[in-house]
Amino acid sequence: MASRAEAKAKARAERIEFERKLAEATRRKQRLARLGGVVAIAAIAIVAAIVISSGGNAAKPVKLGTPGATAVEKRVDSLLNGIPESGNNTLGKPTAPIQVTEYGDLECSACDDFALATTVNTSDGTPGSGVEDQLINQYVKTGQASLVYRSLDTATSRGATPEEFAPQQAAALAAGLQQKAWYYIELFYNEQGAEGSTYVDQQYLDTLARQVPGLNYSQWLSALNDSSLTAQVQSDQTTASNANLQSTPAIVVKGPKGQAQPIQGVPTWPQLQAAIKSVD
Amino acid sequence: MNAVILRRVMIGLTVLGVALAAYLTYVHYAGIKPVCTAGASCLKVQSSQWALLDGVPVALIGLIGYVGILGSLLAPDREEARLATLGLTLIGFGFSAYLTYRELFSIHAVCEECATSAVFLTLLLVGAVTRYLIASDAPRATGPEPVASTEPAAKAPASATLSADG
Repeated sequence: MASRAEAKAKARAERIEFERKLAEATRRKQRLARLGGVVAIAAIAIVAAIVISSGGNAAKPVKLGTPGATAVEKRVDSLLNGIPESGNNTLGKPTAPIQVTEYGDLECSACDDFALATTVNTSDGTPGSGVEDQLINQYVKTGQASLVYRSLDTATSRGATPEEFAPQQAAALAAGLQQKAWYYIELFYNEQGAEGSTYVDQQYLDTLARQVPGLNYSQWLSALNDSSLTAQVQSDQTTASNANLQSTPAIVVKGPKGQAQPIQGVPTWPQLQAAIKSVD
Repeated sequence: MNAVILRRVMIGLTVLGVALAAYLTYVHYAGIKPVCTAGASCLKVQSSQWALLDGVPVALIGLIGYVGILGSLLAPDREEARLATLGLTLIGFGFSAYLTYRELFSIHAVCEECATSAVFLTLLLVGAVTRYLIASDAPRATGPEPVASTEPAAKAPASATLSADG
């Protein structure tokens, strides 16, 4: 009797132990599955946040060799190809009767609006005004006017990287030493990032330089250390200040009949044409 | 560390995180400069393109996240609550790590408040993982293990163990 009871108790204990282990294993699996589910959901949330963060409101700067960069290069080249550039960042015939001077800040979104064609979106997502394209195509290419670029700090000093103003403007002037300032300026506006953000750095300036067709990159790079370029930027600012120019783009039109009233802000095409005609 | 103390420490850290995120959210909407000992670094980060997630300030998202973590910590101490804490801190830690990467390699500036928040989230994640691993909802058998025995007394703990998963 005793041995039978013992065997029964032993079998019962073994069954209980088996069931306990089985239950424990099931519970462990359930916890692991829940944990895996939570980790998977967290991973999806993180990836989604990163994708939105790096894509949704990214600046326009493009990477070299990408279709976006190539499209910008073609667009700028088709606008400027064949137009001579001379010293002092002058696009077009230096002896043209009309001289249009643009005071600009390369980070200014209004300058971007002035510079870009109506078929291209500016850094704030709206189409460009197309005014500068019309000016270049109708007056500069035909030798009636020259277009000069000068520096005036507006948006950059209000943004996150005010210290970048002099280097970015000097980078365009450095390209100007190789008669490529306007390529650099147009590329900058075409790839301009959100105003006030932090996209301008040496890498960004380098990328633009490498996009300029025919620019000797090494020469451009060493010219960046030329203190006369930053002095030129400062001198432009002083000139603008003396002329009481306070916003960009500021357009000053000079011709045989003198100087038109400066236009501060993005002009409409009729406004700019009227200013040109008033001095021609 | 005792689970109760761990939970209290995590609540304390989360409250600090809520305060920090609330301050950064206020700074964003008030359009003022954040307090920063490292020059313009904080402003540079705050005004960067990565300070917004699809137009929503990251600081506000952080505030909502911290409030969620706090809610999960204050909820009854059950596995679901611990999992929620773990999931939320994991999301917060992951996105915070990404933003820290952007600060170091894209913006080239570090925001002190953001770095502090990243430290909070790292500690909270370690706490949440530890809390999840050391805790269990299963009622613990207080008696001896149900070893093979001829004595009927072995039944009590055995049945208690069985009921744990029933």
